[in-house]
Amino acid sequence: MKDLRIAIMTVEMDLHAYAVRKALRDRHGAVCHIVETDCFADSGRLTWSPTESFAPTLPAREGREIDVRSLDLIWWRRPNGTSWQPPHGPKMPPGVTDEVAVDIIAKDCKATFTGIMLNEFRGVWINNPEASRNAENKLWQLRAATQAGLRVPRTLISQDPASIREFCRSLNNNVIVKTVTGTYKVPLSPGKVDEALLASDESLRLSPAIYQEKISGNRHLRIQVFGDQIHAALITCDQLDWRFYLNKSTVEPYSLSSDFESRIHTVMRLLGLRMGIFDFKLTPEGDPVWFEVNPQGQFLFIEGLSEVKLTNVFTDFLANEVVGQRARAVG
Amino acid sequence: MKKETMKGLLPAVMMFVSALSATQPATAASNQETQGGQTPAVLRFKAPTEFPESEKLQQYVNGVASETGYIMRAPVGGPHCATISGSDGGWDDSDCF
Repeated sequence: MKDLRIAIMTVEMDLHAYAVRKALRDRHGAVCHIVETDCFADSGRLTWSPTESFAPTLPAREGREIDVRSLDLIWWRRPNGTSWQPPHGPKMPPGVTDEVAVDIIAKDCKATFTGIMLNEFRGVWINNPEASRNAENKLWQLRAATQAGLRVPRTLISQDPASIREFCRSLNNNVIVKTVTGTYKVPLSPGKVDEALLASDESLRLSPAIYQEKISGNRHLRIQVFGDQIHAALITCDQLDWRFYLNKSTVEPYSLSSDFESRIHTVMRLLGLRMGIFDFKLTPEGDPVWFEVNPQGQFLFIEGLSEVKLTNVFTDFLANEVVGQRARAVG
Repeated sequence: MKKETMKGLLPAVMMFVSALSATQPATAASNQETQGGQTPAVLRFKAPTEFPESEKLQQYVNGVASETGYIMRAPVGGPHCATISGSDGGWDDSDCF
């Protein structure tokens, strides 16, 4: 495609970003920048003015500077500047040690970056920042899944010990508990509720958690949705949470019914997403039961384990989004 | 490092707030105190400390890294893990808003 200019907003050492950049260059001749949102401090490249006297710029990898107005599409992948490496914050120059200095630098970089993007970018968002942030919320996405007519496990999100006990006992304690958001500080796993957990008022009251009917079986679906395209993978794993046991899992392409695909698209529309990575579990009867959608979920490991060329599919999707926008602009 | 150099690395707006902030207690410490060391129910279920990947996936990741110029870093908290927050593996599904 002619003059395709894309930026990937992510954090340092993001393998997905590198893979997609290469495919965009190879398949579409695109100019693709990687902007590392955890590396703004001391970059000297974040600039904006309400007049046109200064170009709105961002720093990109390899010391480049991007004029945001020149971009056709932004992959809004990891915009929060939260590094994957401890201490999970923006990177600071070694000489910056003052806690307050770190806080101000991090917040001012992030606010300026966000403001530049909102003010100056006029191309295609994948995904729209507000939609993406909202869709991360498990309560919000559970409502959308229900509205789309998908089968959702019986669920309670609460910190009220009495309600939690009532819900769990209604299911004979065949219930999983999991965090509402997760944390970078420590990897957590969903766990099976037991009497000891339910006995601690103090523990239950501290924060809400997701209490959800346990779905039996060993077949899980990981569903990649890129615009109109859906690519599903079947993950077979005997463990409750396959993520920890990929070495004991098999991954293969899987076909979905058209009715189910239609409901997935409905969720995407309700959440305002253009891309999303869904997790379902199949009941022993083969019915898919909703777990969650990750607006910016990972997909390279599915490619690595199933050999479905998702990187190419994804980059073609990005290029087509720009084609569509250009056509709309002309029409 | 010399004091002058340190000062040079502070953002300009910092010059007015550092004395005030030095007297504020750490939030995490305060929370720990008021909750008496209790933790929420979900923290009972910490993930395994090691996340073994299949050889096939490791080969795939190494191949992508080699083709794209990505420099593999040494794992911080163990090998890469699929999509787990806190794995330090770079495969986390969300941005932890």
